[in-house]
Amino acid sequence: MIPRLWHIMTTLMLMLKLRLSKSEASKQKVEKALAKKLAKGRGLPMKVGQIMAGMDDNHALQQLTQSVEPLPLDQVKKVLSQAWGKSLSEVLQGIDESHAAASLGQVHRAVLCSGETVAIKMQYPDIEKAIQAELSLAGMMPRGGPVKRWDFNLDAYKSSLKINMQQELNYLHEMKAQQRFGQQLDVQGLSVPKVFPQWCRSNVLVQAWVEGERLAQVATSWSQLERLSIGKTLMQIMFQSLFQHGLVHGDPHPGNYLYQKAKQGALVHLLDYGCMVEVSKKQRMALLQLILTSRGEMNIDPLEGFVAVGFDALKLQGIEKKLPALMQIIFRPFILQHALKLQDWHPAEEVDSLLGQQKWLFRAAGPADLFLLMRVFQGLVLQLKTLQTVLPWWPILEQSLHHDFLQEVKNTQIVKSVIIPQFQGSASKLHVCIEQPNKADVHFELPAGSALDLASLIPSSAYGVITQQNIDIQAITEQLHQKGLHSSTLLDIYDGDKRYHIYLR
Amino acid sequence: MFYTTACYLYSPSPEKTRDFLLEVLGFELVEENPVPLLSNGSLCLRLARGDMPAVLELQCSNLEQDAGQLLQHPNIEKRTEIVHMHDYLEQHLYCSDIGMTLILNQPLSEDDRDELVALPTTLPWQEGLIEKAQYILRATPLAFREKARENMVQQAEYKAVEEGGLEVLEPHVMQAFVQVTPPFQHQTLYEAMKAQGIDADQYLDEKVWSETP
Repeated sequence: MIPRLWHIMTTLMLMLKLRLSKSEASKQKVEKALAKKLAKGRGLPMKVGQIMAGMDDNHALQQLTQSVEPLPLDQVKKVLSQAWGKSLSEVLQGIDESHAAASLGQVHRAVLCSGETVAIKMQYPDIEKAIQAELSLAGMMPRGGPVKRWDFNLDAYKSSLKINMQQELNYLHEMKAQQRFGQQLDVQGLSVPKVFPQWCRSNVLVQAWVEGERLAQVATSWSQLERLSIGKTLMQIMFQSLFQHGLVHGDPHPGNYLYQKAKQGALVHLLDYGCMVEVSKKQRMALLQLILTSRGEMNIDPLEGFVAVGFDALKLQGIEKKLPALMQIIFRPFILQHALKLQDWHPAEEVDSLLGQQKWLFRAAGPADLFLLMRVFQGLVLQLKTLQTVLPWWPILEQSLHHDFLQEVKNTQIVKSVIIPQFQGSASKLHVCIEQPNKADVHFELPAGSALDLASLIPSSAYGVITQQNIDIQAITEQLHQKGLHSSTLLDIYDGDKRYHIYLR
Repeated sequence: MFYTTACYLYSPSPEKTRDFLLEVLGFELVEENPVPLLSNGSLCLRLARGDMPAVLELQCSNLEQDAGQLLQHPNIEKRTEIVHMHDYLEQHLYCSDIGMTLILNQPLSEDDRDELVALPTTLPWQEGLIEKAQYILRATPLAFREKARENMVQQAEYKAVEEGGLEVLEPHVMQAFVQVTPPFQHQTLYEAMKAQGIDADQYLDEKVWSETP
């Protein structure tokens, strides 16, 4: 446990260093060291590396998604024989050395006694225990900065991470998800490898062997039409699985996709169904209604729409007026009546410019599993950019859905009036300001109701001076509860020449 | 933050130069002292005495006509004939009384250059279709052509994907042309389509304008 803890701590330090790296040379150096460390760690650290690779066009981390030192074949054979309760020769004609090693297990090419060539994914022995221990360390996730300031529901994030990891550890769960995904989706060009349930166990997954090329090869050597065909298939997979079926492949890193030229266009072999994101019908219909509203084809209240998707009404209230503009940014590819060059689309910068620090309020208001969906969405955008395909999104979305479903979305009342808790008093905003000579002032606004949880808003750097001056935060909060939220200064203290000023207006 | 506001123009006779700029080249006097400042709205010049040869560059919409007008001035003479460069025409004139060279140039449009401008496509187009579309676009007045080109390509490609394909075909392009062209120009569009061997009747109804008084 101690060495793993040390490994995780040093990995976290490298991640911090990566974030702070200013020059490209030092960034690349840290990336290489981080990739090496993450690969060595298997389990959770490597999973984190894969998540980072899926979200960034990062060469060192992307290599990680395809290479880890595998376990020796003899050890693998023992595990398989034990899992099947049979000698290997009763099941397999033969098995090759590891083809690929990943975060939780490794893959071998083998031939079944029945003659089919299969891919056997075997979980590393004891990885489950290691992951459970690592998950218990999730309590060490940072609670400072935006997490605290904007009241992120960290427990929901941890719970989401835990559920996902536990599902990924059970290959029978993955087998069922793979079968369900293959049965449900009707997308030309999608190939979901057939599984062999009779040989699947909680730590062993057996599926048909598929071959193909990686995205980087496709991007550089395939024709424009083939790349477009791949791009369209990837978009349809995402749109149909998300909006029509509510079961999304949640692990978009490049190692999970193999591309093969076929007579009609091209095939996308989609692998690894361990991390799936389920989206309820209400959530996906609300999301579609928000998009239709942005397109001018419906007219729902944006705040009510986001709340139906799972957002926190109270937190969103602080940016309610900006929601229509925000929707024009985040849903732009669906809104335009022509193809958007994704290279020209910079939603993060635009959201930053629209919301400033309040972007954290929007993120904190979102449901925890939205993080996984955002990752999938970013993965799609990255793939389309790499393929250099420029396609209009809306007609492809329409073609991905059953016509009846889109009609149902248009005709169904999903959103309900949102009742936002009203607080007694005349103040509408809580202002938090930190001023310090020779440094940029920090100033952000929150809904006035946030003042009722004043203790959680105070920067940790101010704790010392609050204690020294015997300021009773609890008493201030109680007074607000009793007298209501009116324009007043709640805290105005100096720590040397640094001023903390928190007030209601 | 700063702005560059003017440059000095040296001449052996600043007074004559001032008169020439005001009377012939359409400058206005902004201030007289301490050094005369003249402006035409986009260029500001201060006039000073000196022996350096002055050179002014003038952009023309019709070089031949503009040069002809300038040459009627008694002290202006031709230094070169009109020279055809890749994407502009150029001619040098000389004002002998103030020692100033005028370089006249005229940018050439895609029509002047007889050039078919590339379409901003992102999908594959049926063979030969791009060239036909480029010729049809020539019927669009130059002032609107660039926007028309961009809109037509976007519409045509959107239609192709909307129909479930990934290749742009003739009907997508012709329908896009009809969509982005104002109705009063449909007759011109119809003729441009016909000139490219396209069955324009599939996309436009000739009766609409032939019956209009």
